[in-house]
Amino acid sequence: MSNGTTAPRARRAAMVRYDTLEPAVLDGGFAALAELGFDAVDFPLVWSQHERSGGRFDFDAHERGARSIHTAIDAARRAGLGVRVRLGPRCVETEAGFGVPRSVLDDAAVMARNARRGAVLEPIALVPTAAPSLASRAFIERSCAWIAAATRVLGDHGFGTLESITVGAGSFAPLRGDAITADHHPEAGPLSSDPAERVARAERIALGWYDALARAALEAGAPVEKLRCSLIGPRTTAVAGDEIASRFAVDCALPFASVGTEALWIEVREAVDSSPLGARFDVQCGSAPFARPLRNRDAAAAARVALAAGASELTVRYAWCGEGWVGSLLDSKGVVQRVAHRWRALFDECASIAPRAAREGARRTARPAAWLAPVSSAWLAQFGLLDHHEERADDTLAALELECDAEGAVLARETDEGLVLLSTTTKPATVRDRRQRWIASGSHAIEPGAVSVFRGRSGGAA
Amino acid sequence: MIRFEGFDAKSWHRLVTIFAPGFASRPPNAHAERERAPGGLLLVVFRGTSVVAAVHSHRGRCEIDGWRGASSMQKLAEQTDAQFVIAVEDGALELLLDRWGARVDLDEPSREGWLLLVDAVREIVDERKIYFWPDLVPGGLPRPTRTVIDGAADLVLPAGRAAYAILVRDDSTLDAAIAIARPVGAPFTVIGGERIVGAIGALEGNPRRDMQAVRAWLDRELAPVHVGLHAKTSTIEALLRAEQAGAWSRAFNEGQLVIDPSPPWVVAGLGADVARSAIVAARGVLGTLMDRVAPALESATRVASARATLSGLLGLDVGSVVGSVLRRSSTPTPSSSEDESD
Repeated sequence: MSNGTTAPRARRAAMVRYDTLEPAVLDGGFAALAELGFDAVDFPLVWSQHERSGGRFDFDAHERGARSIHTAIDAARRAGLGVRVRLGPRCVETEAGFGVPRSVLDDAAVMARNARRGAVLEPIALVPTAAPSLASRAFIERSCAWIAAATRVLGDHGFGTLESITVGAGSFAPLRGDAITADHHPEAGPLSSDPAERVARAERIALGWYDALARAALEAGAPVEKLRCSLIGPRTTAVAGDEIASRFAVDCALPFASVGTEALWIEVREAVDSSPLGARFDVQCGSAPFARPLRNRDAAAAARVALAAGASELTVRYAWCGEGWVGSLLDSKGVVQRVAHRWRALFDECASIAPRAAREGARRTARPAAWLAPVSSAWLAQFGLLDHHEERADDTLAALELECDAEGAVLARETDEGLVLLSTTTKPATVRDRRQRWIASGSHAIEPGAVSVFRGRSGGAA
Repeated sequence: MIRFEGFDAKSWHRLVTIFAPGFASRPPNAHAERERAPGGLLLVVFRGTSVVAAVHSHRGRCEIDGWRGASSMQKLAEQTDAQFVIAVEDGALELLLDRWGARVDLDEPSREGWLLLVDAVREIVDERKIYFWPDLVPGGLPRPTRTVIDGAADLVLPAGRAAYAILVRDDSTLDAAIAIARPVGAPFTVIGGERIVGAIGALEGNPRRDMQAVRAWLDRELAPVHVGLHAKTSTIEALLRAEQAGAWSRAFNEGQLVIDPSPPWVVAGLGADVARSAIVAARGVLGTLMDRVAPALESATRVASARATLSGLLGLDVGSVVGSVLRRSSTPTPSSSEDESD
């Protein structure tokens, strides 16, 4: 996919669960990540590991197994890697309660409520867990206390050492959507039977929570230009996604590889176009043991589509994790696993694809409403089950005066960077450009799963 | 709590897809091919006689012109080329989860919470708000209690003991390995092939030597081994789908399936399989005379294995249910030793 020209490349970060690793292995592991082509690390700071009781926090609790974020930041900087920190409150799916302390989740004033005033339960790592209400004053206060304390600790080390601080829900999509969309918590306000009013209410609740978290981080000293919000699930289905993206740079989930090349392309394109302050994409490598398994070759193929669609920043979730995750690129000792080289090859291959900026006034394609209440729309979208891609038949080849010997095998897009061809099937195909406007040789054989970029007559593809 | 360690995505994927081939990871460019593949699950959400939404696991949203009750599910499956159909009344899932949420005591162990979910599902099924096709689990089955679940766990793998399985490809190279331990006073531990190979070195594909090496390591490092298995992955996949009685015991006798050590539940399970196979064979030879005797023999076989096998404890032939599901599921994904870097 290289054409020999120099272009700004997409930034790629590796999520590192430093809290599950021995400090002694950090230097070696970070050097290995840099060698693999990552230019930043992304550290989740897990609330439940630092709250002792009733809003008192301890960031150096070695006796409880908690490991210092400062040690990890210093080691990453020594390896020449940029550092991003995500504070949650819900930032990791492998921890009980997604990282929110049990004492918070078990507080009756925090729990999201169903129509019968029972708790809204989410299965987290096979444990039924009460989902918190984003409308709960108690949850907002405790979340903000955590964000403020964690931000101050980062500030002690100097915000200058950080690329960004992310607050929010974690970009993975939890299974239950009704914890927000149909929350009967007394502080959530009345629930209308009108679907549009319900959506507006959910967006109001989510926005209030995000605003409070952002304010807590800023008041604790976080520089405004480094603050980001992590959406719930993919950008185009996240609750209040448009509103949040208009105020903050956002982190969002890339849907899983199985949704297909075209769906991934459209998701990334629309997310970038409609996120004026920037959008990062979290891609899963491997899986939690209780989730659908994901092979790295498929995760890397999804990342390839995202890069070709113009993603400017990717974060490979759980790229290095001591335990509780299947398929990390480094083992708990920091030894590079075989799968890691697939990512390195991808980064080399995509080095010359230029990221894309937001387009003014861009609008997302309207998606149908969730059809399986109380399952969250973001979760359905992540699995390709909230189908918004009504125009699957691709006629862009003809529009660009290109021909393909296998019908429906190649997706063609004219972009700011040139012509992009994406293989959308498991069979090889040949694309012909009779007028040689893009492909100098007049034809290009594209392998299954490949992405080729042509920059007009002077360019080429490999 | 369950602790996972030493898996890479490839071997975990291999293990999971033996039992759930439909969960196989797929690259984005396989989507179009998947859309055309037969099989899969059709999920229908209905309100009265109208369909709110219908989604096929391979093809996404699809058009269904109306809901005509449980008797129409087979026809829906044929129309949409699905192997499984689940029909849910609009709002039933909310009702189910609301009931579950209202009953769960969050201080209770999680297995109690899941049993309460099973109760809630049964209620919703009994109230005819959710339908399954085909109906693979016999109706009227008592919900296992916590004691029964604990008893089943103790039977299969007692506290303080370990189990392992080594699966090899047809060319005898290692496909996947797993070890499970229930240490006393420590979390349930699941260990993957990467950690096992890292500890004892590469496995040779020789069942006897490989099993000795893994067993010695587990005995030394984790807990005494209660049961161990060595087989080709293709053999296990075929046995899980086998319809005829006696397939497991035949594979065991022919050495395709090596089980060592063999705890009583394995011996009883294989014995029951032999007995079922003998009844089937005798029925062929003795004809109508055997028809009169067979029910009593089958009953005696069930009674004999009731306390010694998992199916006896749970009152449900787990193997038969798994087999029925797998025979309708996607074909297993083959794996080759050239496919190492995923």
